[in-house]
Amino acid sequence: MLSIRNLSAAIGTTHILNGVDLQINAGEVHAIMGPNGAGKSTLGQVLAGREGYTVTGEVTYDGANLLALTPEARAAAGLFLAFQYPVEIPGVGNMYFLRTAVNAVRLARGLPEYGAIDFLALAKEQMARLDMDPALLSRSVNAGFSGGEKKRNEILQMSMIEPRFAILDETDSGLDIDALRVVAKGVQALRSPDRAMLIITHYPRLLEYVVPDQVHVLSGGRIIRSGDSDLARELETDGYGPTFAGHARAPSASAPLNAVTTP
Amino acid sequence: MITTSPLLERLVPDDTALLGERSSAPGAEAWLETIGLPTARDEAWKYTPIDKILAATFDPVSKPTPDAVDLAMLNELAGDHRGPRLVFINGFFAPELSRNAMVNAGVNCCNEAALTIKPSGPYVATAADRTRFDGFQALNQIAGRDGAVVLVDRDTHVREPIHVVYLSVPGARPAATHPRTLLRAATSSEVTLIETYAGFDGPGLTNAATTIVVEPGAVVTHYKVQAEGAGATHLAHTNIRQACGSSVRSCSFMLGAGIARNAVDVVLGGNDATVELDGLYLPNVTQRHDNVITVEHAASACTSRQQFKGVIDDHARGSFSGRIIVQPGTTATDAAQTSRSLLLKPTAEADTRPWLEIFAEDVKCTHGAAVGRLDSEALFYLRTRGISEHDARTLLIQAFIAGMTEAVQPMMLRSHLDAAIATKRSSGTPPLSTEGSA
Amino acid sequence: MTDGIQELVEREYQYGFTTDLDTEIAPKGLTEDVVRLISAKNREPDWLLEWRLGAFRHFLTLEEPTWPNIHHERIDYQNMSYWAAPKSKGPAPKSLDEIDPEMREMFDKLGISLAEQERLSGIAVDAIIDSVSVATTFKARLAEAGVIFCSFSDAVRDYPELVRKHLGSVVSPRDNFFATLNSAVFSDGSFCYVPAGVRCPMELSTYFRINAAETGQFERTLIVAEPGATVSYLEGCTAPMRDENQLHAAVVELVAAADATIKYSTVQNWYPGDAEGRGGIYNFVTKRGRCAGARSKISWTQVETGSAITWKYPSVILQGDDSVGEFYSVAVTTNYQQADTGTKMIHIGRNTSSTILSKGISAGHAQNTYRGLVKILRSATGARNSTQCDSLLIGPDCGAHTFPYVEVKNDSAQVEHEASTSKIDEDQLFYCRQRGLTAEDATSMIVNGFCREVFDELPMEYAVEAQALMRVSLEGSVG
Repeated sequence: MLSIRNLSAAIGTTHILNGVDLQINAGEVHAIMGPNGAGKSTLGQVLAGREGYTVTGEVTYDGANLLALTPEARAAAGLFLAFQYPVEIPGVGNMYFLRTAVNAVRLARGLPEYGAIDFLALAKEQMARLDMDPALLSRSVNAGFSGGEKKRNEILQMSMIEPRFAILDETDSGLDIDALRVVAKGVQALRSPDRAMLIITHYPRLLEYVVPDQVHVLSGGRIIRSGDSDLARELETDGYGPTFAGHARAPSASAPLNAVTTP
Repeated sequence: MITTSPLLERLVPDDTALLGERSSAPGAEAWLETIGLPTARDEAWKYTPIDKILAATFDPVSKPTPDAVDLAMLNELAGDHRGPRLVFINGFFAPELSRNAMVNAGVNCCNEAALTIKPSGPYVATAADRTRFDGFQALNQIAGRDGAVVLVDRDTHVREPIHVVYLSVPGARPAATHPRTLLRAATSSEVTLIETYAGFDGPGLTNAATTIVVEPGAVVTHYKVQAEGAGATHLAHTNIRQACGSSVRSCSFMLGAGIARNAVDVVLGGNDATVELDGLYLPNVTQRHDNVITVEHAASACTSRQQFKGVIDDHARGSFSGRIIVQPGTTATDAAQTSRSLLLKPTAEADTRPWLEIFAEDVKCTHGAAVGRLDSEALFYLRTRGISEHDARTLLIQAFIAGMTEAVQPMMLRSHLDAAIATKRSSGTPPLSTEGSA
Repeated sequence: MTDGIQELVEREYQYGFTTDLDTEIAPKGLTEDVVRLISAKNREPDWLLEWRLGAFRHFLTLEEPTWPNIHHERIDYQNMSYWAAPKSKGPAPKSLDEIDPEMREMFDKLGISLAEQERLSGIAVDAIIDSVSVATTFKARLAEAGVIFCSFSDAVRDYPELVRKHLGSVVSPRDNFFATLNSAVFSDGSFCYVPAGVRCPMELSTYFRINAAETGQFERTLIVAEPGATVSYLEGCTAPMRDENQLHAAVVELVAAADATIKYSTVQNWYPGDAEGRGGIYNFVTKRGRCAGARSKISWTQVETGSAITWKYPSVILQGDDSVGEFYSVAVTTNYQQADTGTKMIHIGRNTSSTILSKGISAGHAQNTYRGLVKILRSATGARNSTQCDSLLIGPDCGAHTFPYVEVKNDSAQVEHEASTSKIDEDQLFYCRQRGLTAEDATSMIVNGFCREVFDELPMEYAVEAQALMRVSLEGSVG
């Protein structure tokens, strides 16, 4: 579904991604882990089409060149990014924003737009599942929301937009354990054979609930290690230290990933 | 516009006998001929009682006798901040009170008249720049006699602050002096300049012009302390021109003079330049303190900060006019401005004009202004803790002021300022009871 | 911003058509004879003619002000006509059925079906084309409540004492260049009088339309709310697309007695000129309200999207103790439009309070200026003002300027002013686009959000209209 080849990204002269390779197939859930500053969030932003980066490399999405598309065209093609820091938009009603977004994407897919009343019912149903206060619909988008409310609002948007490929950027950070469970349930509910997900996270907590098919460690702007869900557990026990130690000893960047697997 | 000839005669009496020929300033002469002095209708002079200033007739300045000011008086009036010091009395250089004028290699610090080679380059505001020139600057160029020149060479870091003092020793009738100061900080140099305007009580006009030229990467810290006598009128223009990567912090403290106007005009002419302007003004009795600040972002990625605070007592009036101009074609501008005025008496007055003129898209500009009296809740809180109302008010006023003085770096200057402010505040009328301050 | 966002496409002005009305028009030029002609056409009493002539003579001594932050070619006050009226075909219409069908069609096109308005929306409308009022709806129902709502010329005939008492009491005929011009040559306008204790049973609305070419429009609106009265009034404005500039110099005076409330809303969509800045209305308007009585309240809300040049400062004189003044404004300028607008809040009475909320949006080559004065006089013990003034920039060639004046002469006053100027937040734009909105939709949504607090002050049906108007205005500013 999504194929990333030698993807690099820089802001000015600062290189953030240095040749990322990644293949994600329909039905799969991949996790990207790594320490702060590894370039995890940049990967999500670049895939979603954030401007301001100098991007090289190739990303094909359903066979098409993803990098040539505007952010809204990527969204229309089914790509969704749950933001690490959801943006506040004062004065724009949350409900109105949600419906406009959902209908814009539906229109692009040739689906009928939702009417106001149907949509409200649907949104309330989803909100109940996410244990969200319906009053949040009548507030401005994310404005004055708590950290947890913002994250749930992201998952609400995701549930309503029903993307084909979702990137969750640190969606678990700042959530207490109850909220994490609710959010995880929401994410898990979207798992399906024709969808894929990329979960960016610093801690493996979310991966306890949404068990990934593959886990990758991103460091210094490239993937230095990949494995199955056990890798996440291993990182929890040992931290990123050993991984880096291995990386530091690696003879070259082109060495097979398994070569740097330790313990 | 004002017909200038008779006015000029009144303001700049013929004193060639005493002082010799005036320096030629053709642009300035023409300016006064055609445009004249500002009037109350000029926006930039809206809050300066210009008519009052222009009503006076000035005598020629008199050269003070050698014993007019001794070192102790000087130190009391202007403070002693160690370091090099240039002292002028009624516009005349006073070598006996100055010290260590030529500091060390890399710094030239002397009075203008002593300068053998005049600094070249566009170091002073000229009449050609219509939008930022005015009749008083023209007058300064025409009638100015001497002043301080500080030239700092490339890569030179001057450790001690350089202190320039302009003292007024007035006679019975008002006289006008037109001091000027030039600081040029060459590439990657670092220097601190302290300007003090002080004097004995009596009538007079100080019409000062200060030019600060900051070359690429240079760092300048500038303090201006205005503590003239209550009968004086003080008009000052500080022109700051900054090249790329330079950084300036300029703080003004207005304590004295009956009428004082502090105009600061900054042009950020090179990318990545930074300027921080602070100002504290404390008018009481019937003083008029007027701040007129312009910061022009003429290059990209520059940052400017303005923070002005006024404590206005008795029948005084304090004004702040701040303009931020962002020129077309610039990007990544970050500009902020705050003005806070504290009114201590029902008869005190405050004016604020925080202006933004933005001709570019990529900007982040904010301003905030607040006018009010002491926070009654804070007052109440202090009083419930057993502090008398008088002390509570004093405490809150001190806290308001402290924000500005605490940032003063040379400790000698800071303690001198603290003392001067305390004297001024305690000599003023006693704080009013909070009757009606609900 | 992104690919193509800067691309300016020609924007459509929806109301730019002209209607072929048979129009009677005064000869070009401004003379005493023209003033007399206007007065005669309106069959005015002598005192009003004298009032006009006084203003005219004073006008001759004045020069056009140069302080506003606007630039235009010299206006030739002798090269325009000061009075134009659709020719009536017989006696004045007694009911809507009698209105000229072409005129009705024009209003239908404007979306203001006079009959519909009367039947459906329950809003009383006074419609003014060029210089004269052509129809006032709902008169009967308003009369039942004791509310007088009619054209200015009718008011002069039917309620001369009321008009004489209040005309010029807030905006003196010598107030400023344009107000003085208006005082000399004003043609018609709306008059509204709400007697003591009456809450006006419906929204009142005046619809202004400039139709004739080379004509200035100079209307005058006077609203008086007696003690305890409440009224909400809305004006809308459009004009045809013409290559030359047309002058509109109106005066609005509001008088609120004790405990009275006047809410005045404006949706101004005069023709703004084309994408190259040709044509458009010069909108030089003086609007002022006087909170004459204790606890009175005057609230101005304006959405300014039209006109080549806008020059207006709806102001409040807070005379009565505890009176309240409000100013909520959205001003949008695109292409080569210029706006210099804001407010004055003059605090005289005790415990008076005022709120200013101004949102400026500038795009294309436009220049948008907020100019405001908050003045707390010595008598205004306990006065409060809070001002918020935000500007949004769209594109590198526009400008946004903020010129507030705050003058405080009473220490018990509390005045707070905050302002910001920035471009549209890139993060907000990206967030919206990631959710599938186009750059243009995202911009429009963010800008509408930016203006939300002002739109919320408009009567419901106009809030929707204002949002739509905003969207149309910004079309082409973003790709």
